[in-house]
Amino acid sequence: MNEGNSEMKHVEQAPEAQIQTKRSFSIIWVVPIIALLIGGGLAFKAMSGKGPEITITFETADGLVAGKTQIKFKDVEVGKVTQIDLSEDQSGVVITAEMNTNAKLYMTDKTDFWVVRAQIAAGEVSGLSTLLSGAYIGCNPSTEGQKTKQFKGLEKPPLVTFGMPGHHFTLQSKDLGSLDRGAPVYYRGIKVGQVVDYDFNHERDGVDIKLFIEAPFHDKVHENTRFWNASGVDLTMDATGIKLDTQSLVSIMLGGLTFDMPKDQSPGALAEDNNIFKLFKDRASIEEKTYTVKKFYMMYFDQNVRGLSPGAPVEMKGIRIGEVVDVKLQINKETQKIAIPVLIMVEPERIDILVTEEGVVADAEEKKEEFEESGDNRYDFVKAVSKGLRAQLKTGNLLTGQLYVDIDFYPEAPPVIAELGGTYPVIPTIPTPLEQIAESVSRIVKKVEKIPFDKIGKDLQVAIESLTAMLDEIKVMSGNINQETIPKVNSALDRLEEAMDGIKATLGPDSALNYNARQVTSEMALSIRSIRSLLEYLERDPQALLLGKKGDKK
Amino acid sequence: MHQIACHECDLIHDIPPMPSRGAACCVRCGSVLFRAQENSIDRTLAWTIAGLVLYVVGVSFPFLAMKNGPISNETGLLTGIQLLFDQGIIPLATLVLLTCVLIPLLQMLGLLYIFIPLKLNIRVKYAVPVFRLFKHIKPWSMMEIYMLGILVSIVKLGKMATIVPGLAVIAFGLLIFVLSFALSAVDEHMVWEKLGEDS
Repeated sequence: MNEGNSEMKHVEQAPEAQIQTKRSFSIIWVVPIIALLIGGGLAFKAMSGKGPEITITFETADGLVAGKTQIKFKDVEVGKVTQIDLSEDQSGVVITAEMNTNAKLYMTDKTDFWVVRAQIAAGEVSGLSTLLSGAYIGCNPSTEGQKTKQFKGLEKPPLVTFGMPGHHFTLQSKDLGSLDRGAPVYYRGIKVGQVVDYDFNHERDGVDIKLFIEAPFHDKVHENTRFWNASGVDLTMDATGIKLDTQSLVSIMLGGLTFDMPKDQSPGALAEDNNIFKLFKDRASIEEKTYTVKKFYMMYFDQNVRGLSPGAPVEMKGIRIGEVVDVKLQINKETQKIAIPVLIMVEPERIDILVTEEGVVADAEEKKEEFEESGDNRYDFVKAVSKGLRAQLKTGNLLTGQLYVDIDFYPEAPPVIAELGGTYPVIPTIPTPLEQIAESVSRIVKKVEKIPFDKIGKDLQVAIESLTAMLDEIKVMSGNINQETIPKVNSALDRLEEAMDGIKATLGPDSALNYNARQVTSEMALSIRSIRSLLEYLERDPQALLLGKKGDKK
Repeated sequence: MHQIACHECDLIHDIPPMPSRGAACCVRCGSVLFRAQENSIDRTLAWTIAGLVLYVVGVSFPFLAMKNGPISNETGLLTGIQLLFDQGIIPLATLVLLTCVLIPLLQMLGLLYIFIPLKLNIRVKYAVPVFRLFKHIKPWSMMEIYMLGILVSIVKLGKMATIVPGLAVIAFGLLIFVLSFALSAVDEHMVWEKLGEDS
């Protein structure tokens, strides 16, 4: 028991367990910690999401709203305008914008900014959505160039944006013509690019036109490719007639460029990006070979040269060998004689010269050297004039009255001593062959005179007389017919009528024949009826044949 | 020994020592005199701090984005009130500013002002008037009504434009619950008792 009691006591005496009433850390504190973590995370994200702050200067802030206007690249927001201020000298506006984080990469001086507003230009309507949403700032990021945070905005949007595949080329031209930014570039009639920009060249005496050809068409541009202006309507009127050359309606209105390969040239290597080309004025000019050797000759005409203008062709046997450079008027004060000096330019490279001694046709390259080496070929010229080399004005086009200079050999022409004294060698001229025409006209007149008009007249008279006689004969013949033949025909007809009357009397409805016939018919009908009754009786009573009628017996 | 009068029948009671959780009831009419809140100070403080964080998020982040085709408009709580002011609806703007921005903030700051010293067992000045003010402005906190308004507008405007709720909407939604938890954790009887001890 004691042991048990002591045991109990031992249990009772056991120390009381300590009861902790206050928890040192309440679970509830997790709530603000989570809230702080989330809030802190959001704040960090918001802070780190803020990209660089940049300033852009524009001429005007038309349509831009601080806090609302976005900066977009490819229609994706990359930043937002936060502030709009006037620039210090009041000449423009300074826009402060906050860019996205990744915008750091392309905040370089090559990056362009411009304001996108609704506009109709270069055959395209663009930025229509800005009518509702307000303008936004477009951006063309470029990772090249130096890092900067101050930008100068473009007043006009550039046309090709960053990263488009294709090549840029530069065309050198004397003037811009009707081209504008966005003017199309065609290749065989299909639009493959556009004019991106234009500016004066360094010397300010020409225009550099920058254009962009989209991939894959930039492969079509080789080193020997020629670009020409396809703007508008090209109406040319020269000795060869009227030519009208037009491109598409769009390019007529907006201007445009075309490129192609000259027919007789190899394309050469592929043109590299930013290659420089010359801009030709029209399609015809790209096909023209450029001749380097040019020789000038003078000619004096004393006739009317109306229709002969600079640029008129100089032809030899119908092949163009050069062109008229200048036409002037000279009057000799003492003699009052009028002369018209015409300066022509001949491109000897157009002519293949047969070197007769060796019997070999010199080819173009050798010929070029030959001309360059000799330089002076006056001896040849004098020889040619003595053999009858003459120039003559001829009408190229009857409709327009354009003249051209024809050079040919006239061995029968009166000999002229070649003049070499002046600045240019003088080609002797012969008049336009008016005399020849007069001669041939007189020849025609002579032939006309030889025609025997008297004899022809007499023959004609005889013929008419015999014709009259023949007509008389015909007249007599027709008189015979009237007098003899027609009465006989009449009597024959009378007799025929009589005969017909006879027939009518014999066969008519009141004739005896008719009556008799009717009588006979009725008689026959009566007899047939009696026969039928006899037959019926016999059928009923066949013995009557032998025994006779029964009634007879009764 | 403290005494308490019943709210309903005015019977005076002696307050017995309270367990950590439980309600003291009137012996005559049976209405609840007060409830003992377990761990009241910690819970109030925790919910209030969480509420303050949510409040900061709700005020500083965009509230709603409204998109209709290319037109996009983003507003925060404060910019919305600013817009109301700009449009000349000053009474409404003031009301929204007070009930949804200032009063919830005052409430939470007031709770911190009272409960942090209680937690740390230190005494601060003006604890009693602050707690009284806290009790007075309590009915003027109407964030849940504002939230209801937002929800109605989301439903109604949903046909006209795409409404994208921002982070602030979620923060405010949570704040309504967090703040009500914080307020329910306040053991007023205990607070008065402690403030009374101090004075």
